[in-house]
Amino acid sequence: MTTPAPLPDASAAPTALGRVVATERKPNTPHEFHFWTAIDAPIGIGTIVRVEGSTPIEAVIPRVYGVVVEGVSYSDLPSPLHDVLGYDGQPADVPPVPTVRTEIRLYTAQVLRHVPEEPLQPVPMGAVYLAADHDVAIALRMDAYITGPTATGIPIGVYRAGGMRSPVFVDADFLVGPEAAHLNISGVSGLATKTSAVEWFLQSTFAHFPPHRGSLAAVIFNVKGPDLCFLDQPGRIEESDREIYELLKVPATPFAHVQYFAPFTARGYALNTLRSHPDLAASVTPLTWGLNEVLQFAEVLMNKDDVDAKADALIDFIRERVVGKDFEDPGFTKSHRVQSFADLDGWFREVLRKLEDSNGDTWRTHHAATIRKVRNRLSNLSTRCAGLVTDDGLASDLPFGSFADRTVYVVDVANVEEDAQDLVFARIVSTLREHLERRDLGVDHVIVFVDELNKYAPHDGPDTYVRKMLLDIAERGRYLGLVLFGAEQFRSQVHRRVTGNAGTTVYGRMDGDELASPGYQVLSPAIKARLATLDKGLLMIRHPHFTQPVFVRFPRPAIMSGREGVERFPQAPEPTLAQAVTRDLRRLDDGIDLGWVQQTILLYDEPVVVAARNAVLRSRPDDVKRALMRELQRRARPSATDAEAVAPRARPLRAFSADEYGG
Amino acid sequence: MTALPAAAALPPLPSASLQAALAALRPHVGAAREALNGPTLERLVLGGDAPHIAACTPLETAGARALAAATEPVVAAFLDGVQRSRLIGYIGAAPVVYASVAAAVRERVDRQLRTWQAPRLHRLLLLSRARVGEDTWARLEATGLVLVDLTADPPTADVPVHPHALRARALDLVALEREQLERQLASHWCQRESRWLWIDGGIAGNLAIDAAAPAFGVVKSHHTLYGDGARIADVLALRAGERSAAFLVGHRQRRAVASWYLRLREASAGDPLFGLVRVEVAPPPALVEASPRPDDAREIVRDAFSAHCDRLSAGILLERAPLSLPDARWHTLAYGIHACEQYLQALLGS
Repeated sequence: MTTPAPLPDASAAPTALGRVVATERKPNTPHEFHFWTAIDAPIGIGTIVRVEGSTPIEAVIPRVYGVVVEGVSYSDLPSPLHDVLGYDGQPADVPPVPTVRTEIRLYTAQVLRHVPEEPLQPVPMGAVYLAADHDVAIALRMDAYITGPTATGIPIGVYRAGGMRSPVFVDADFLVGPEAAHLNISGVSGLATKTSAVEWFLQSTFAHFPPHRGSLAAVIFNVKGPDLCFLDQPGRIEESDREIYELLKVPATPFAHVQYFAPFTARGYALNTLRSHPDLAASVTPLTWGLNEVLQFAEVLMNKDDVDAKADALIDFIRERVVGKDFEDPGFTKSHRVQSFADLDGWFREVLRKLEDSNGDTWRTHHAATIRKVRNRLSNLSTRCAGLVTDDGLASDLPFGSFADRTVYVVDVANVEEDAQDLVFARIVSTLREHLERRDLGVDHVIVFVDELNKYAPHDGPDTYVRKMLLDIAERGRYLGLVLFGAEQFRSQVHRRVTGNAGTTVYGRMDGDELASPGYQVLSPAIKARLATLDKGLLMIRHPHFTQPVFVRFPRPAIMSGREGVERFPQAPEPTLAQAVTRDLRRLDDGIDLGWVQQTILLYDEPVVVAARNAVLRSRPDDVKRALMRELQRRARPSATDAEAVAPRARPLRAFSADEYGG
Repeated sequence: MTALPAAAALPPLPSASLQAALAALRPHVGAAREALNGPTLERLVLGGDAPHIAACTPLETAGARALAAATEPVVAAFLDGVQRSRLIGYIGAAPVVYASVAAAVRERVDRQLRTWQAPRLHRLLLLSRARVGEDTWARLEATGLVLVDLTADPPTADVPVHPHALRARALDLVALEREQLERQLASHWCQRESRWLWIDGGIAGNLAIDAAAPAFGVVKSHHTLYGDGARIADVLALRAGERSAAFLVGHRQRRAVASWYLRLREASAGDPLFGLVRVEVAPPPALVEASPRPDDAREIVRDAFSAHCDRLSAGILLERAPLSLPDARWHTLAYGIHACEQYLQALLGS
């Protein structure tokens, strides 16, 4: 939480650096003013200044704070030609010039705040001072939330000017909710600014989120590269960064509590993550879902052509009446309890056989073609999302219900297919939302970080399930405590309802074409130029309390970078089946060793071993070794379903047409 | 980082007192708003002395002297004054003139010009006391403005009746006031500094500038050319970077000064006065005294004086850059003087 500190005396910076100037052609307004400075004044684009009026208004000397948005410089020459004449047209043959020309530095500043606020008048003529710490706090209206017992300030960076460094805080109530929420950061790729900034924001938020506002966790979707794979490892930071950490009272350490989740590879036993080094692999939990978890989000993986009203009705029927229940039907050979895709396939076969046997077109009002289509699409899910979705119903999930305060949950889906990424995102966010609505997630607020927003919530393109979900978070998440930290390269390509609902907007270095888009028209040419050339580590921040954007510097996160991480913890070669089974079963029983596993699974096929392992992990038995052997033996014998599949049976009297199949 | 000058160093603006004065004069001249916004009297009253040739006493042998510009600045500061007079109206035939005069020294520090000490600024109201009447005069005095009676001397009975003559007299008085300010500043500089001060214009009337004073004047206009036919021909034939022989100018009612011509830039377009300035310095007493001295002693003094003229000329040549464009006098106007004028114009306001 922000340490309450009294604001220092406002008269601490007595040296005037400039004077307000106004002419009829270039007048001052209540929102904008002009001032000139000495040539060597430490003023630049983004500098915050204070104007001291000279005439009291209602017995109060007006004081105005502004941020420099434009600057011009010119000499007393009315034409460049005169300079050419002065040098006889020979730029290299410069004569001794004992006096430098009179030159002006004329700046335009946008008003941040008037003190007093009323009456709102044009900015008065007066001396201009560089803003000190307390001025920055007042100018950005931070004085309302960075002091006192209920302070809600979260440091976001350091404003620097003229050798001074002033902390800049955002208001937790406007970052995490409930007043406003969400943070959006945009900038060109390749400078590592967006990811670093989000890591820093999270570190700072974890360090300063006020306890009286509840508990807070973060869910990070790693959709590309290794940058987010080493959040719990210390990184190298420079002394200048360390000073910022100290100034902002944020510990220069990696995240103390991080949990990683990653699906398996398609083969089903090696985790599909760059964090597979033996020293780190133990901290990665498999992320696998079975039928139960996936069926609710079948829409994510099916396009609209797939899920028409008829198919939707059948899926609802399966979800409500079949999955997880004992299902019996007069024509069925047995009772079905569907808990996995394999069980579901068996159920479908029973339904279709009954249809064939009865030579009918419908089963319980569902047309045979619809049944075949839905069977095809659903069965296909486990193939399309192999590694994430398991045939046998094994589910290994985030700890919904027992989320811990100040903990980061990283879901590494960088190496999985886009469909699977969408499924992961949709299900996790939906589940978070459900738990937050019920207030049983374990924490009061969750920050969800999604990179590549222009891909998941594009301004144009199809109205996907994921985009609808992101829009929902953006518009209603703050009431639940579900906060979206989004990042993208091109803000103009992200849906306006997502960017528009972000209370805090952050800009790194921007592409020139992007800056030319209409969304940036409110920025002055100088601000745009600065954004186009912004140094690494510098950001422009917009926040509801700041009436104008401000530039801040943030420290390099005290976290191992992705590049350094993959060098220090190179990806381990894909484990053998025995190694993978050993690693997974050790979560249940430390006594499991590689030699025993190798001996035990030696005679079994790989799918059998994987299925047996999944069954053990799902049942979590006390005696893991015995359970594994039992599952292996059980699966090695042909099951009734398998036997049935190969048994000869009567052909249908009438075959279904291709049209019926395709729906 | 340069701190800005404190506002207290600048003279107070006289708007309140001027408004009060205008109010007092309204019964006599009506509303003067338009007149105050019109062109200055200096611009209205164009003209000047007719060009003429004046005799002088040679101090050096005739002939041009080629010089190289100094490599290091010789001049440390520039002094100039400005005046601005506006005709408010007439009371009878007597004009009412509001004038502002100012002078400043701009000192060069790290190649940048800054104001040395405080600038001098006076505001005057020139009018006929006899015409305006004692009551109004008293009211005007109460405004705090400096009042100058245009008809106080010569006596009222002999006051010229031509309105423009009185107007010209007003301008003369304003110019005298400006010169007075310039002399005060020059005097202060010479008392406190040993570095060279460039004064815009002649120095003949300034008693503070003696042979030991670190100040010289540079005259840009040449209504009067000094010398006989041959010497003037030499002057007009000077090439860029050449100076003429020095000579002694004996101004009437003023002290004699040593002077020489210096060509700053090559004469262009056939104008023989283009880029030509005349430098004035206080001469060494030995060269001015009427009492005869041994010739060899005078020669030593003369040689030293010639070297002195060369050194100052080289320093003046160095000030050719930067150009003081767009001023029409750029070929003879040093940038330091130009900057000084700009500063004073800004001080006087529009």
